[in-house]
Amino acid sequence: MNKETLIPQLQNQIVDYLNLEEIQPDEIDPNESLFGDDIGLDSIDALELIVLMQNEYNIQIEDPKEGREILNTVNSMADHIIKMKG
Amino acid sequence: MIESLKVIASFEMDQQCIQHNGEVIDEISFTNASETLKERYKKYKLKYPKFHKMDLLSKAVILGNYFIKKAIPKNSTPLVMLFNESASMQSDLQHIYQYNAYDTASPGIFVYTLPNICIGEVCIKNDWKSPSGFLLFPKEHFEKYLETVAIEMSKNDSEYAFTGFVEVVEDDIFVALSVLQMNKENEGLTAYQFYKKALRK
Repeated sequence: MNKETLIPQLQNQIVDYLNLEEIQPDEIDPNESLFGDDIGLDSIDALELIVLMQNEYNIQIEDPKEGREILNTVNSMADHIIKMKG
Repeated sequence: MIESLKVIASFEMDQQCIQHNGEVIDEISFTNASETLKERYKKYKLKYPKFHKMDLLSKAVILGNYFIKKAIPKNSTPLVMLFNESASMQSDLQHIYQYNAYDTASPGIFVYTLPNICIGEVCIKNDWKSPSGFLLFPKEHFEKYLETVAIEMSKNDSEYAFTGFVEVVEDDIFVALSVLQMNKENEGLTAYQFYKKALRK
């Protein structure tokens, strides 16, 4: 599992899980916060991302503080997946 | 009391057409409820990305809002009261489907398993901090429903109400929304006349 394939995969999955119909996957900047003004996700979307990590990568996020850091950007999500999956 | 409620704007939608203020403005080539509402979002350029995350009830209300909200003066806070017969049945069915398929329900579906969420969505969209309610009433009891609207308007000193019937279950869409004004002196339809016609289809 490497970042080059994982990041576009995550971008597609985020668009799919969150019904971001007006955003193309490659428009999600991997280094920008998903909860900032650009993409503007909310707390329900954060829960959807937790479900995404569970369903697609079998990774559970239970600590809210840790979750905020992991789910902040596509990059941080990819780093966590690689860390958990090797 | 309901004789003092006048319709100043209306929106009706079913599988055949959309009517605005009693005139057919859109003929519908119905595929399914979800696609039809999505097509209308694009056609009327609603430009509200959150629309895509909503349940079908909320989408129908937001679409109706696009047409009739402008009848409410900008500095007014209307009563927001809606009703239907099936509550949040459409979202409930999706919830069950997801549980059966994935052993869990998506949070984005779960939050819509109450019909009054569509009221929250339209109030957020319009920045209304309104007295509100979602009632379950059979269509044929609309007169009782209008009495409730009139009482709530009077109690809350609301000159306007954003109100009506909104139902989307499986692929049935039936929407009859209106902006009502209390004590408006004109020759327009009363709320009773509008809903008697709209809900007897």
